[in-house]
Amino acid sequence: MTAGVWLAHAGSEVRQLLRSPGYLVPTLIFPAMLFSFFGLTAAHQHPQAAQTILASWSVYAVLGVAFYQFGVGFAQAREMQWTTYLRTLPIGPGPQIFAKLTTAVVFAALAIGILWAFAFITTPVSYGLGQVLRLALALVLGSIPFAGLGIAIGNTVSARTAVPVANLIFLPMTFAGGLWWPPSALPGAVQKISPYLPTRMFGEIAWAAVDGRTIPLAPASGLAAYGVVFLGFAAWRYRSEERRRFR
Amino acid sequence: MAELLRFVAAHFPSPSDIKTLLRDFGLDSVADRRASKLSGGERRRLALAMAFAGNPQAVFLDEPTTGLDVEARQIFWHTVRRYHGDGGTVFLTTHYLEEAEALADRVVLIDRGHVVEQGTVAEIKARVDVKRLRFRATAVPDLNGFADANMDDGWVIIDSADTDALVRNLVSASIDFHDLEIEPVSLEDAVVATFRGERQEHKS
Repeated sequence: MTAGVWLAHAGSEVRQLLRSPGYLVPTLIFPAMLFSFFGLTAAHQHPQAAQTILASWSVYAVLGVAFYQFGVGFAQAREMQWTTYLRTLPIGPGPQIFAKLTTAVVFAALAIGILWAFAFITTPVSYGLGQVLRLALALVLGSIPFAGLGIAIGNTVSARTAVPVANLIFLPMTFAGGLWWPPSALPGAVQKISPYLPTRMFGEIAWAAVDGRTIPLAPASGLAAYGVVFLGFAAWRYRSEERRRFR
Repeated sequence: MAELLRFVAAHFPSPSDIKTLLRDFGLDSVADRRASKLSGGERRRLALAMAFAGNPQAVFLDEPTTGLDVEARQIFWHTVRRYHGDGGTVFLTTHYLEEAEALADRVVLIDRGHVVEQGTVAEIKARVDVKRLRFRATAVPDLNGFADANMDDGWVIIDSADTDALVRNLVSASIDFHDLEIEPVSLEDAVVATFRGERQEHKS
């Protein structure tokens, strides 16, 4: 097995997604679009909060990739005969996992690139190099639990229901997590549950990263705990799906 | 679509040449089309081309020509013959006995999971040892149950394991026949005869 196989899988995965507008628009365009709806005015009114607001939407963008590429993507792949055919090729799971991860990184970077380009042009906000690096690291690490949740969803529901199910979890969780509006602007009841949501914890980490603060311990350990649960759930769902289909 | 072939080929150390594959399977004109936009026959040919993409030493094909149109089947037969000529081995399952007769060096007949016969096409035909006797007559002669005769457009056709005895019988019964011919049967008829024999053995 050569590097060519790994590249062939990554290239094939990226090309498949580039040809699916149903995936491209929500993951690449929505973060910038929703920022223009919900973040743009606030970023102008409170320039000191603009960096935090943009960090929130960056988290939103990364979560979108985790939910749609892993959640919806797995659910669709399970129903494609092509996926079954891939198993007949003389390779292990390595190249396909590599392909999924590189694709996720590529699309998350594209979504954030579009979001930041839009924000940098329409608002006075900008990031220094240190902030970019810290935020990038926070986004990569923070998204791991959600990739696990995505894989768990993708191996549980059918392709047809994967999109509504992903939306049903993704939209309320990102809103209640304080990513659309700052947590202080959330309705009272939502404010009470917000700190316990993994999306809020992810947000706290990203906000600390752009502010240059040390990463607060509570959300970091909370998110790690969620990560263990979600990844365990994903492994369980994945294994039982594999057993069901290929026993 | 050619992308798919390149993708599959990338998994093998010395893959087949993609351009040659496209040409061999008559897929040149649709190389840039998406696989989902291909016709049924084109998809089948693409699937076959994918089986050969790794330049394998042996290929297993399970009823590759079922539902294939005539042109595609001929392309396929041609490719299998050339691949075999270059030293490749094809394991092919088929319900079309003419296909086995046309392509196979070695035939294994399987009935309900049991090997019934195996050997070259000629060996199987010889082992089955049924010959077909044809002659012209005005009516189906009464053979006293010696063999089953069928009438087709002025020809009487009798499949028999012992055509010599049958001819002697016809002569001694003074049956009026013309243009007598004895010919070997096709593999298909041989197989039918074999299976019939097997089943009767099972019953008894």
